[in-house]
Amino acid sequence: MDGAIIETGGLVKAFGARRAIDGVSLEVPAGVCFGFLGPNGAGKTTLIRMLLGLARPTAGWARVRGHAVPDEAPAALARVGGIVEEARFYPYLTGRQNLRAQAALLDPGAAARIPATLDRVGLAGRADERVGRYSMGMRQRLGVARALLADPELLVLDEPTNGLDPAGIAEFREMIRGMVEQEGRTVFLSSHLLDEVQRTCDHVAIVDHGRVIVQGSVRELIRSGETGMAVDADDPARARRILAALPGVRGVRERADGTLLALMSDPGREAGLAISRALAAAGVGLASLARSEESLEERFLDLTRGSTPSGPGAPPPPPPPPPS
Amino acid sequence: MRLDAVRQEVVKIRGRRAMFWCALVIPAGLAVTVLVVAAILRAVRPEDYFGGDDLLQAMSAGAALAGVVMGTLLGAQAGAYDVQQGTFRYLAMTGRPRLGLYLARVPALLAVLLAVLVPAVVVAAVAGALMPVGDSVRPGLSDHALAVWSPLVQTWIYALVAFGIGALLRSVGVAIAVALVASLGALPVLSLVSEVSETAGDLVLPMAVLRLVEDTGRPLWLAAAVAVAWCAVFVGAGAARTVRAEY
Repeated sequence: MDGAIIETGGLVKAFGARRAIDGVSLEVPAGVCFGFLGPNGAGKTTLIRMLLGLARPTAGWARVRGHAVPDEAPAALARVGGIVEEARFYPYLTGRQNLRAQAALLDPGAAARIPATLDRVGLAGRADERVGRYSMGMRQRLGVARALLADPELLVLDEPTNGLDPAGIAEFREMIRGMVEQEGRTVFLSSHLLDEVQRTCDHVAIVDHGRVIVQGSVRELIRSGETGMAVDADDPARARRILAALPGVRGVRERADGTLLALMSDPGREAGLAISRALAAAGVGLASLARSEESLEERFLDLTRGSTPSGPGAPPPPPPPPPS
Repeated sequence: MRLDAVRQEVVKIRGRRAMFWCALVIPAGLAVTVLVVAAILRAVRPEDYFGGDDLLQAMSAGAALAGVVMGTLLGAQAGAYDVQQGTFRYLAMTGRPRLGLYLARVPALLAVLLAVLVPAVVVAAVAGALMPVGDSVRPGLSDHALAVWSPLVQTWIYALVAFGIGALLRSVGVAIAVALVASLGALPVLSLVSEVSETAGDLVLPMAVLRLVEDTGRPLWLAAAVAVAWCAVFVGAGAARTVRAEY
């Protein structure tokens, strides 16, 4: 599918006077891994529930695979798989039986995909054990297997790495990237593990207090933050003056650890050489010099620290009309 | 409604093993208990012994009582389990109509209840046919048919009521408690209405069920319509909640 696989416009979900989702307009391109980030209570799961037809919007609209949800849910969700909050199963049935129960509601070929799907998530050897005996990580894997049964164009995964150990997380990341890069699926992934999102996702939206603060590619988002050269010098005051006078330096900031950050858009090798020469010429000792780029986590904290909650009376932005 | 979906609902009900095995063993156990009592009576007090169609009826009544209780438990659980367990959202996110997902459980529940009553009915039929008749009459085909029909229809009806209650309350424990109180307490008490007005009594579920299993002199068609209406109200209320709720 070309274009956006998920689109929302002015989406609102209110619980009484409180708006869990407050005028969210989102566009998720097809064929990417899209990270949906936000602090606890930001409205991530609520939005996911609306996208999957599990909850109705109070206002606004949402389209999945070009179909409105919840009105055209059968068409919209026909090739969508997901995990919401946590993967829940019939604990007294085996993993395979759980998948059969789901496959009965999907396309006729879904049951035939069960062995391959179990194999893919590494549960083929344990598929005939009762799910009640599974570890949390195994349940998460089985949740992914269930989501894959629909041969989904779109996978919606809400905190999918919960309960996975570091090796499991790394394996999971590879699996997600494989789904996107080799199989052309779109993955919409909410997670509080920002480092994981940075490593796994191509695009990201940051949500807080029910509103999307920013969305775009991960690279652009990080670039829009503070990049520069971190300088550890024996005379910070003089070093600061010297750095500020160098071409290409937009400013100099002192960091919490006492080192300096020379802000520049292209903190490459040439910039490093220029800084070391200038400091050496002035007789300032240089202990270390390194390229510094804000991580997604730092960028996320910057962005969410400044956002304000939407009051119950605050009107949402007017929803743009749904695409025809 | 897809047959495979109904089959999977059967697997889910059957998979709750403790409840399923209780439902299988208890009605048959109660029927056997009646048989043992009859055998003891024949040995020690032959004048009180009951056999033939009386024994068949007594065993059938035992199976019906146990069937109503187990039907109520299985029905309430079938109605509430998926939502309580959090699995219903995974069924709903397939995009399948929620009403279809909900109604697929009905034939599954009825089929399981039919299956769990088979041992009790078979034991009653064999005992009724083989045990000495005593002062009773050897049961005929219509007696055997009634011995199957009576526990089955009572179990089904109260299971459907409990199923609706389960879907409404969405908590297995609470649904079982409420459904048991309704089936064994509130509804039977309500049938006292028939002491005041026979016409009003016709509209009470236990009276309608009674008419379905024995001739009380009231119209059979009315009893059938009233029983269907009661089931429809409870199952319908559960359906409305299932369709409208958010998961």
